[in-house]
Amino acid sequence: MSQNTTDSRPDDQAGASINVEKVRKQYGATTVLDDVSLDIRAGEFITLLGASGSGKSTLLNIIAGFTKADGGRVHIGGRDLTKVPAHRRGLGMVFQHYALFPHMTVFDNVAYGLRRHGTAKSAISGLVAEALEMVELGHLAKRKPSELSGGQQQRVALARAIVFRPPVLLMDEPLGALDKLLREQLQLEIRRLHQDMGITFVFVTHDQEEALTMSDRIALLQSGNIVQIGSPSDLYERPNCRYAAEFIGVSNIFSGECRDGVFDDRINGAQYRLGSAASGQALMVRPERLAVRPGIALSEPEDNAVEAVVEDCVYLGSFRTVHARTSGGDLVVARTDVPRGEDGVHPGAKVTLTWKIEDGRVLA
Amino acid sequence: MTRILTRAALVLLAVLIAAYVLLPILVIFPMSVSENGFMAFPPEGFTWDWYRSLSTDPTWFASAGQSLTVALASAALSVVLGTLAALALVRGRFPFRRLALLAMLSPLIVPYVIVGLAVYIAFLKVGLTETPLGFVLVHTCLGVPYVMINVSAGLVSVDRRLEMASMNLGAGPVSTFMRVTLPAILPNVLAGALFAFITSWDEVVVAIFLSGPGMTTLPVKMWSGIRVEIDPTLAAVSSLLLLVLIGTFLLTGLARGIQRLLARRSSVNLDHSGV
Amino acid sequence: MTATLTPTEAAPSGPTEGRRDGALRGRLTFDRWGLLALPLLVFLLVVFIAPLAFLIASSVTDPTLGLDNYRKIFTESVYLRVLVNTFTVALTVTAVTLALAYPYAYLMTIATPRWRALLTLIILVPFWTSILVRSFALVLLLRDTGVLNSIAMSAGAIDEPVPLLRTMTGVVFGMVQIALPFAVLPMYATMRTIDRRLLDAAQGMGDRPSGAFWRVFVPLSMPGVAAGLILTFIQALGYYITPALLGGPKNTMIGELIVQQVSTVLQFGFAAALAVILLGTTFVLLAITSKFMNLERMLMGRS
Repeated sequence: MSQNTTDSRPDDQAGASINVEKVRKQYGATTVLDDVSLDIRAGEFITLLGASGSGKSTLLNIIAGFTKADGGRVHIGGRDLTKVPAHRRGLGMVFQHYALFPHMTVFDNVAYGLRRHGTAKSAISGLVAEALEMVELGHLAKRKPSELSGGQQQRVALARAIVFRPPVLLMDEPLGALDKLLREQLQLEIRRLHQDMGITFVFVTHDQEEALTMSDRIALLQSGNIVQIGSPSDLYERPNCRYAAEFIGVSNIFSGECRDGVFDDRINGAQYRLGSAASGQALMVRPERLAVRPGIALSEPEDNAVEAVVEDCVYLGSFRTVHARTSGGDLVVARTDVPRGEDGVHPGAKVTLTWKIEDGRVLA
Repeated sequence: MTRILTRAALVLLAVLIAAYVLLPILVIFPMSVSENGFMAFPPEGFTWDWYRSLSTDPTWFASAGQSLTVALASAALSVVLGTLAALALVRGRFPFRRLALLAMLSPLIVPYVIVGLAVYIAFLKVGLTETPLGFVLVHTCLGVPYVMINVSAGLVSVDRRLEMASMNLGAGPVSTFMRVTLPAILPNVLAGALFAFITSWDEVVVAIFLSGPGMTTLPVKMWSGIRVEIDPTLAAVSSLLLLVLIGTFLLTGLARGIQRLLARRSSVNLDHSGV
Repeated sequence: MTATLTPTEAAPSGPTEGRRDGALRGRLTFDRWGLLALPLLVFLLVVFIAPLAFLIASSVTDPTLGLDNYRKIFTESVYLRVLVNTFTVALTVTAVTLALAYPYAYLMTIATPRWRALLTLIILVPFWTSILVRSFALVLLLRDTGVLNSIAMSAGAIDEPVPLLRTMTGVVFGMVQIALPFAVLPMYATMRTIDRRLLDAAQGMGDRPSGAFWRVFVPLSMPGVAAGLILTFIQALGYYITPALLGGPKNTMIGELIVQQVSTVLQFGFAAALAVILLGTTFVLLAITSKFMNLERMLMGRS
């Protein structure tokens, strides 16, 4: 499907949609994917996020065609590709640890896919040069992969995957082996690439911060199921279960019960008002939504409050985290501005933690 | 589909290779108990006669005894020289390192026919042909690279900090070597010794040059048997040799098992002494 | 590698001093561990290298000083034919071994651990069983009244025995068996290190599985293949037992000729010249090999 695109500009080509339908995979007695369905829109950047063993890589490999599903279907660009082998799917893929061919130069690595797709010989060197320019490696075409740094190898892998302008680019933990600084830099480059190319990106990672930074949407996987799918702010602000709340960002979770628009926290002997009717056994508040007030302060009528004793204050430059223990023994973390001078919040101090009613979220 | 066909072809090939490698030697035992003295195929009847006639022939025993002596002695000498050289190679500094290493490994490279011829000419002059000492000297050359290779491999993985700890605790270098280093590389030393033993025990080309009426090792005696006149006693000897080989393998397997068991027990003891 | 003291060794001036005194002195010093190489070096020098040197010398001094022995080898067609034959047999053995060993090693890399252990065990059988036992078995198998002919005749496939013993077929049949482990093991050692994801990557870029195999797997396995084949070829050049037992007078190899010259006509100088040619070929091949692969590792990793 990409033979005739030799002179098309990147933005000429839209990405393809991907529809995963009840895909199932089992290794022996272990269910790796449990009837997973997922609709990926054309041109979006979606991240499959999950801990190791959640099935995210298996799902990616099934989309790529390297792993055979035990059941279910995969449509890409509207075509049923379930039975089509990997080499006829025409997708780009960046592998974990890159999988660059060690016996070929950077140029030959990038040209590999073009040659297999029957691109005219005369066009190849131009396309390879263009792809290498996109990742700023034009000057290293003659090197062998072993002569490159980790970040450079990463870029070659990217160039190799996009050079034949696939409608979909799959990436399996592509930044896992790099150090933090390089990783952050490449995250931005990959995003830029996505914007330039306009094709569908499917990105696998276990790093929630990376997922939040890069994605249009995130699918969170847990033991073979997608537990939540949505935009980064959906997942952060409105997690739909305890697992999602705890996996993404830091969360304070109170246990209790919902009754008549009120959450009854019996452990701490407190009651919190709810913005809307809900049911569930946990109430979550993000640290930056908490305010810390010294002493037993009367809360504003629109706020919820719980009393606690400060155990530790950690100064982090632009902000401060306060670790406080409630009477029921819950450890609560709040993230506040750094006060000018002493504000009465110090280890051992009694404080009141308050939050706006709409900032509390009831979880199943 | 092509994938399945490829796999099937590979498996078929492996089965054929296994048959090619195993079947010939599996034929030997039935032949050794066949009543047919010309060893025609298929074997006929069943008899221990060929083993009996073997047991009454003192020349076979003499050859086997000589082979065993030579193999044991050259394995022992190989272990001493090879282990020392491995220590030098892994830890030491000495001149012309590459050339020295090439010299130490050259017995693996030089064709045995050439070794045999060279040593034969030299030993003739000093009267070492047809003597156990002559055999031991040559076979040590052939076996020592295996000891060196095995022991070097073991030494590389020895944690030098254990030796430092031992010396820090007051043990001298020799005592440290005997108590810390040697136990760690013992499996490699034994593997090297086994290689050296089998190299000598099986070696026939050089032995043909050095043998004579005064001394004939077992392989040479078999060799002349096969060349001159094939008879069922040879099948009996071959069967026994295979039996010895299988036995050796089982024993080493057993020894390894016991060693692992002992290692586990001693580590448990260490835990107790630490408390 | 600093030296630890062993009281039994009479150490020369400390290695650290030697190192300061310039490169040459540094290169010529033994440290205390290095001294341990001396017993073996001296032993090999006396028992192994000196006889080889003497052999080389006698090829140009026995019976008369000069290159007569070599001239004889390269001018008389009998001997030339032996040289040609030696190379022909060795090349044939190498080719057949490659054809069998490569797929076998590949199967080992894709097999489950249990099957791999079995495959390894099988391929090591020729390595461990006595060459004489195996040669004897092959004689029983290949001779006119042997296993193969008997089975073929009783099955009605042939009317009279096909001569297998004392033919080129017989020699190759016997020698390939001996060569197999030496070819399979280095090949497997290399194949094992090839990342399977590279094949996925190739297919992800639109290559057929067979294309990925030939363009990615095969080139990456070449170091092991080269090591295995060179070992096989060098060994095959110098074989004596198998060709002497299974080959006929028409396919005499250089090893047999050497033994004949010594045992029947007592021409030590001529035999020495033949040996020097064989030895020289071996070392030239190894020198070429060492240009593109680490010979030390190849030999050291053999066991």
